[in-house]
Amino acid sequence: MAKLIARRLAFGVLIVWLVSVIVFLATQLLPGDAARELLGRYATPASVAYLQNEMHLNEPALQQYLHWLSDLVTGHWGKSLVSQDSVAAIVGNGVKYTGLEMILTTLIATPIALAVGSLSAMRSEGALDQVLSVLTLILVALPAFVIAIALVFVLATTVFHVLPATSLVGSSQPFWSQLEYVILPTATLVLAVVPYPIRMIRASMVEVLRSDYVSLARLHGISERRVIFRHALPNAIATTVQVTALNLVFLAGGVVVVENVFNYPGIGYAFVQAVNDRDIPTIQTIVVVLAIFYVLVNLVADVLVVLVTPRLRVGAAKATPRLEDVPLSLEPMA
Amino acid sequence: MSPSLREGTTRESSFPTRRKFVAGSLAAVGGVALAAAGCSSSSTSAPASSAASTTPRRGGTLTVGSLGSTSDSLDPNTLTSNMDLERCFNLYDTLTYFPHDALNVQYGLAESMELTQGASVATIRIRDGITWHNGKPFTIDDVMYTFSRILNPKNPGEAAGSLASINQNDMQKLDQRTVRLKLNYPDSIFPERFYIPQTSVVPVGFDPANPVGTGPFTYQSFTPGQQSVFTRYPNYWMPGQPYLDKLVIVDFSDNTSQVNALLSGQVDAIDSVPLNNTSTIQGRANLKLLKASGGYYQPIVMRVDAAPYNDVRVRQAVRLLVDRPQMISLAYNGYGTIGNDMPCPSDPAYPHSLPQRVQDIGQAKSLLKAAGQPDLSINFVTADEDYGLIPGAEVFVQNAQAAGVKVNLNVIQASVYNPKFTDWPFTQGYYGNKPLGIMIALRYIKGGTLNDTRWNDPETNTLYFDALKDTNVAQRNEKFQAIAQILYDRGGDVIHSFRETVDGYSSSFDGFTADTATGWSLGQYRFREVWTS
Repeated sequence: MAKLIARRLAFGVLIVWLVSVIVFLATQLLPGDAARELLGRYATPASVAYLQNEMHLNEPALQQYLHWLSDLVTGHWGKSLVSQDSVAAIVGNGVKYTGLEMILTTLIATPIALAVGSLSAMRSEGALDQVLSVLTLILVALPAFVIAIALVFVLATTVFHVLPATSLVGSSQPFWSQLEYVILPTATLVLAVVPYPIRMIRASMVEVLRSDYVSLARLHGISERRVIFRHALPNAIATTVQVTALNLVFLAGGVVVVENVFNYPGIGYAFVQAVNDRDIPTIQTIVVVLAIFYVLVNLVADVLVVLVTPRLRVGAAKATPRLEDVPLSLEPMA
Repeated sequence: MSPSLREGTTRESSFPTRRKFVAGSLAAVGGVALAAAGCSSSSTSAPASSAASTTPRRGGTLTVGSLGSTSDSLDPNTLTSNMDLERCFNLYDTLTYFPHDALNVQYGLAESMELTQGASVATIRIRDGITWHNGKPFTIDDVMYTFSRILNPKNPGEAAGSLASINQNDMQKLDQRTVRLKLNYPDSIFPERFYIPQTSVVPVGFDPANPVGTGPFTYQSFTPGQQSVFTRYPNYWMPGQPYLDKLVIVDFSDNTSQVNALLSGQVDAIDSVPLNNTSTIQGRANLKLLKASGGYYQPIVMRVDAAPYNDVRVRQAVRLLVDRPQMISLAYNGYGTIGNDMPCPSDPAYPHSLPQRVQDIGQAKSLLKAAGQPDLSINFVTADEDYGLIPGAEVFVQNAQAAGVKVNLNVIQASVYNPKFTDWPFTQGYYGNKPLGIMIALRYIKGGTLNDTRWNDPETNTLYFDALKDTNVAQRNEKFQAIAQILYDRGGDVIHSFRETVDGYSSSFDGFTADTATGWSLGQYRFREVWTS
């Protein structure tokens, strides 16, 4: 087990490093010049020169990269080029708000997915299952921002006026007193992520309910209730863990769109602001932080799956399973 | 606060994203310094009070939503964004300003500005009895300090180019309210140079972290990219104003959430509603639109030094190709006023009497034939940097087809386009309104930083430099008018229309005046004139 984790961690470091290279290339070597881009068409040559110097754009690219990488590794994340705030503070503040949103979304979406998925599986091919299938398919097809705009239209601006349309979180008041601002962003994210786990849990439950041991249990006269909760559902836990991880990974990207619709001050909002301002240190750091998050979530999910899957758990106790035996991390569905 | 990102530009157009810049009045007015002599004086009237139909009421809070970012700043001398402009207009004051209806300079903090010796000496006298937000009296030392701060060669302010005629080593303090400046060159448009907020006067030893001004509202709190709060300054020098007790300005990162916040009542006013999204506000009983044609324009630009556009007949033909009303309806969703190939329609010197140029395909064809270009083919290079540019270019392509002129429209990345924006022979620009004299210096004098048509015309030069020496405003304006007519007759750009600014606000507020002078949103963001109705 420890060896598995170590291997996965090593791969994770490699992945994060590759991401850092790609991000660096993307932000530094695109056509044009970041300083010019930021100052716009009618900037004076003097101000462009000043900013190029400020952004170290005159250094060779490799030197710029090493400079940034060493700062990143040693935790000296530096200052935003634009606001002069420390990048660590910008990232930390964003993580706080986004974290709240993600935790709430997961806490709400996971039980819904379990309940609806199981219900669908139990009524497999029935009318309810069909209706739920169509509904989840519709939700899958809708981009998150469309859901966001629809919710705003119905609940905030046009049909009803019951919730704030934008999350104008004031820094002067404590955040817990402004929780109404989290409702719509969270509702959007729940609706955006919940169809995937519903469908996966349904599929996994259908498979379990058709298995020999469930048939045997039923033949033994065990109540259907007991069959579901005692025997079938625990076998769907591995799937739940995987889809929850999948959702967290999706959320880390999906919040970018949703936070901007609601002006919600999370990491996605900070990211878009940084991109608009060509604030390169902030962009690079946020992307690397998100990449680390992806790697860690996938790792934790894999370990949990091993722990809750008897076959794999036993295998892990006897001999370290080969990487191929462990269910691979799921690709995020963007 | 670091000046790093704030030099040299300002953003006058705030949609569709806030990163749209127009250097305009701030860019260095390169190459216009000269020597001259003469004697007269320049005078302007006292501040005009805003026209109001009902009696203003005291009290209330106004919450305004604008597009801002973490690059927001409260240092007026280095500001670059509309959001900064909005805040600084309310926190500080300028020496002069423009009323809402025309570019007729009015005195703000200055009581008078006298130009003598052929506009080479300026005597500034400030109003008596004005105090800073911290209670200290406002003196001429503060004005001199501000000039030195803006003109600091090591760290110049945004208005350094605009105030280039001031020699900071030759400022003579006459008394606590008066300074005499020996200018670097005659500058009869000197009073007009102070309407931009980047020239706002700050107190001696100014610290942007503790922003003290003389403006109608005092600083309470400020979080870049999020929110700022200001309270009424009871000792403001304009009688009765401001009416509101409190002003809150909220940052948004995009137009959608900005409009939604207005629709749901989270904010009371927003600036620059996207022109294709005004209908969501129009239908509401509790909301109003504020529409102003302020001279903002997106010219089709031809380089007069590059063939075939060096032939005036080709340029005139191109001007006759354009269906101007169609340009307004398709590129600006109907929010525009027709242009006549001259900039700055709100300037007193603008020649309104010249015949309106209209589409004339037949005349265009015969001009092209006469110029030896019957099969003219145009390579039109542009970049999608501002609302309306690309649709406008597409309208032109269609219009040109009617005359058999083939246009190859090439939309390239802004980062590739911008470093050489004055090099493209046939392209587009986007410019905010400003006094005609300043616009001429920037766009129609050799060395002007925005001279994208490469205009270098002896007659224009003579008229311009004579006008700068002329302290008689009427005579000076006649010369500017003559230059406008030259541009109408043979200039290098097609100024087909002026895009309007559309803002939205709650009908529970009054006092917002459409600003046709500058085109700045929400009545130049002058919230001192606003009250709760």
